[in-house]
Amino acid sequence: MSGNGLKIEYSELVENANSIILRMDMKGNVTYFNRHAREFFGYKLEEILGKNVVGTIVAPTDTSGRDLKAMIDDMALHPSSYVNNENENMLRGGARVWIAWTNKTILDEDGRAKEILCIGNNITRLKQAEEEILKAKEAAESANKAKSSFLANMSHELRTPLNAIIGFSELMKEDGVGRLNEKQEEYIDYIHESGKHLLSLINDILDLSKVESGKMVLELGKFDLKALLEKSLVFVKEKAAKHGIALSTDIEEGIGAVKADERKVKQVVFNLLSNSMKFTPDGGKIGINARKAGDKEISVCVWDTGIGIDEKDRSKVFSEFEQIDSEYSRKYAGTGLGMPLSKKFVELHGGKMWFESEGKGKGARFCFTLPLNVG
Amino acid sequence: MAKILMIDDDAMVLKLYSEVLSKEGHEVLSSNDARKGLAMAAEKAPDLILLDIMMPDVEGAQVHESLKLNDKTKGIPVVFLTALVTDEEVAAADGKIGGIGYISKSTPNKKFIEQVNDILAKKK
Repeated sequence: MSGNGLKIEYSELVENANSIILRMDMKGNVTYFNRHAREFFGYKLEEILGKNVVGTIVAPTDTSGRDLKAMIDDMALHPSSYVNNENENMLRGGARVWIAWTNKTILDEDGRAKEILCIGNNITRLKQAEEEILKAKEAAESANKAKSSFLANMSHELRTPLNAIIGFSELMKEDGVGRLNEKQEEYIDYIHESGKHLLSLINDILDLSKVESGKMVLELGKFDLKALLEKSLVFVKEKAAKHGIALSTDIEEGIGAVKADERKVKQVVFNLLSNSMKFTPDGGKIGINARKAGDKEISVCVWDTGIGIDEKDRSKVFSEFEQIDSEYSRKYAGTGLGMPLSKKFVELHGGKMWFESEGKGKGARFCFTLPLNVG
Repeated sequence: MAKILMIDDDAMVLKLYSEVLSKEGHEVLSSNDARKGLAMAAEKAPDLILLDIMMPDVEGAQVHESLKLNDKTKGIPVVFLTALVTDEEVAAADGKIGGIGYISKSTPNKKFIEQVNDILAKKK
């Protein structure tokens, strides 16, 4: 095929390609405009050739106020900055579209920039979707912020009357107001216990909202992990004895001082233990194991011979406000916040939390790691 | 036994802790108004002032400052009462309380008494 034949074939290819293809001189005047471009922008060839792109397919400023005329001027001066460029364009009727352009400078025989070859693809829908996602993301973020600050304020407002409920019922329990009869004593106990339960729920919600908004700060200090683990068993000892549940510890030699937030680690261990207590039937076993895992972390596990976790419920264990099914939540009181909160506390330390269970009825084992060098 | 002044806008809080503290044998004075509270502090010279950290019209820190500016009250130890629970919450809520102790209103009564008695013992 002769050179001329090739040229004709390529111009047909360019003319009929399914992309916007145009050329303009360094002033921005159109020198070529292919079929697809004409159909897309709505111009006949004679209407666009020789016209400047600004005012025809480029509005002087885009919808956001960006100066597109300045952009076209700058393109002639610094073509290399515009090799791949996305900008807003304008159809004949004035409607705006977004186009992803590839711009190539064409040199004359002396090596000076003569024209710019522009190949464009319509990305309007992509751009709209992108904008919608961005808006949705901003809306979600601001809603999340509003939620956190609402929770923080609400928690404070809720505590004030609760403190009165807890305080006065405690006063009555302590025989501060004369002897109560048996029924009164029983009911006051309910009021007091319920008040305390509600208070701990409010505190958990507040903690969770703080973790989520990134405001939770660890108060790091050195403490004896072994002592903490052993002490935490004391809290459940009485209840365990009442239900014939055997408690045991297996703590590896040499586990002692760690640097972490003691209050939060205590809360995590306590949550795991009370969870095991809740889900272990009378006569079962609960234990704490602690090992060094490599020289960089310690792993702590709380295991039990309780009701276990069914395969289908695995994903719910660390979800907020979830208890595995309604049958459980009636039978086993709880806020549903203990596990997600514990996991977040561990993760704040740079550790991990997970569980193992061979299925329903086969017990469970909740473990977490603490890095030895937090902070 | 000590003379304790409580300043808190919440009548429930005043009632509860008046009971709790007087059961312990302390003499309890209370005011639900910051200005009246300041006047009472100057007049009755209590051994300890329990001061609400957040009142609707005035912040505890301001009341504390007024107490320290008055010769009659500047020597009286002050402890803040707060509905907030943890150290970080208190610090976040009011950076101005630095160095002054506080008692959480969520503290069980027995512990509350212990804390008050501890402070009284230390100030002696």
